Amino acid sequence: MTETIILSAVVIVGFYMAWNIGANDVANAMGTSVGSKAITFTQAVILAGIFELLGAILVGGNVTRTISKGIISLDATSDVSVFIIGMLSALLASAIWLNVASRLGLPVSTTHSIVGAVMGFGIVAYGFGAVNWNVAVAIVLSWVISPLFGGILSFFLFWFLLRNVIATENPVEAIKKVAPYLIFAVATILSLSMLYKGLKNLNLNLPFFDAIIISLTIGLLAFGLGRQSLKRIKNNNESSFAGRMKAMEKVFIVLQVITACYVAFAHGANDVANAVGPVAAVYEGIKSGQLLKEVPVPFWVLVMGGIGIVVGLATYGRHVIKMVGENIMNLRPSRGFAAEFGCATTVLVCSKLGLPVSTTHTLIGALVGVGFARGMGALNMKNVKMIVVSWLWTIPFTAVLTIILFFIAKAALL
Amino acid sequence: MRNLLAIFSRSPLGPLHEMMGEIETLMGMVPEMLNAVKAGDFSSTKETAKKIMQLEHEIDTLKNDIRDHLPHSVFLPLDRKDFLRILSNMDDIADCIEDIAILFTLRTMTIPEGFEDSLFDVWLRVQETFAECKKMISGFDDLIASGFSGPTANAFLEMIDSVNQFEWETDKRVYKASQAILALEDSESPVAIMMWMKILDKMGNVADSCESMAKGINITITK
Repeated sequence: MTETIILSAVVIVGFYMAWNIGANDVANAMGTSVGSKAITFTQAVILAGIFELLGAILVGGNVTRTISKGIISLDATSDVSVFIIGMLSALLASAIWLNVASRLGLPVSTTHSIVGAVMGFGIVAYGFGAVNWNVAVAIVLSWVISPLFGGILSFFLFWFLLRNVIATENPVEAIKKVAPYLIFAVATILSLSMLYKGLKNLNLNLPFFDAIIISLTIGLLAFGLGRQSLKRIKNNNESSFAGRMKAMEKVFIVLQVITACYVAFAHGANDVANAVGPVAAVYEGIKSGQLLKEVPVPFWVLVMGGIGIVVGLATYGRHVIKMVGENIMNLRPSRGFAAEFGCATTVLVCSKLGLPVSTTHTLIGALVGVGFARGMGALNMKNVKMIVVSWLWTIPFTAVLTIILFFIAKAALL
Repeated sequence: MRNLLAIFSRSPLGPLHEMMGEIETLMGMVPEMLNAVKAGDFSSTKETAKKIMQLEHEIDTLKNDIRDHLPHSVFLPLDRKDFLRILSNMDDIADCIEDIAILFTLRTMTIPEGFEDSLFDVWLRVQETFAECKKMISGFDDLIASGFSGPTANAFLEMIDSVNQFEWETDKRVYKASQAILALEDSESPVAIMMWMKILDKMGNVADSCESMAKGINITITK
């Protein structure tokens, strides 16, 4: 009976977290495309929904596993009921913290909250030794590395675009030549991440070599399709260079829709775990009475998280996307493209490695990277710094809140 | 989500365009004043000078506003120092025009015979120099869009060359006009000649500031 209540509670809070993630974060991906009027709100919601769901279901398992059993390592003698209550507290603490923080206008990350929360209860429930410090250190390092890596990637991509497209005599013709290769890269990376170890849940596990061959084929197909559709774009032979630049940005508007889907996919893959990691842990603990490292994340848990994100996007994300779209005008499509590409690639690689990173932080790192390549109008570095150090106070806060909730729940339920 | 929006800062370029537009208006008031002097209408001269001083004050306020919105934490695609140099050169242009206006109010000036053409010629060159700078500031967004390179940058380098050319032309005209006024040392009062020399000097300074501004823009491109 108690178990049913706990499971229902964790599912409800997990769904609420997923809703929150969908409502707030998805605009990271789609806001710019809506702002540049490449797609409408409805189209953005549909596209983001599809790719978030795909990312969550096909790649979301890796990070979910890290959060549900990677951070705290238990042995056979550990008390599973304590673990179940702890995970519920962790999820609740993160949800409360996110609500408080957004009320106060503080820049916080869902990823940082949940990781801090899980570590917090792990320490009080089982002692310092129970925290898998290798994993914990890797996660914290990934929070430093992911914005940096996203920044470096975007810096070089923008630098390349500057050299080969933007600062050429005929940028429209140049982008028509370069774009198919970029489309090829996105399509290949996306399909590889889905196919390689991604279809486990569908009982379709392809070996790496097969996955690579199929991904390359899909990439080539996208390359051909992209080139054909780009050919149809007429070069109006604008006489002024400024006019030609505008025409080039129009091509980037279209390309940006592709990277926006890429970001949505990576976001689903990484952030679904923040909501469903604890759900998976509680479900497994209740079902088997113990925690086994080898058990895959239940499929329904990922689907639930994915649906939660999509519902959040559909109900509230519209409003956020609109706000971002209207306020992000000084981001040119070519810059948005470079930043989103760097961000999504970084987040997806981290997701594959099971590292929970912050999509927003990585995107900010990528935008700063483009800025260093002289691509941005004006960036507020004070706010960038504030956002980057925000996890320094997010972790202690959610950790302490989790500990408090944990003791309350333990007293009430055990 | 607020996170992402918070990192975009207000671009200082919008107000910069506004400031350049006001300086253009200020430039346009000088011929108005010269014509009033030519017509011997001292009250009208004073009226225009007053308008110039008012507008210069507004430009000053605008400049301070732009500078104050540019804390060290704002990251621009051009060096802060270079941006502030361009801003300061624009301010110098406005200052020089104000000085010219003040000089015309200190004393009732009459344009000596044979000097009028040289005087108006100097100002024409100054205006040409300024117009080229105005063109560059108007197109500065395009320069940023192109990443300070490629054909846009080349077009800017050409405009910078013409600014230098026009400034040189201005200097030549100032030299000629100075010769013309000094040739009248027997018929004109020494005070009048001193005043005209000062006015010519200030007009030359406007063109100098334009040239310095062009140099500042040049640095942003070659960096």
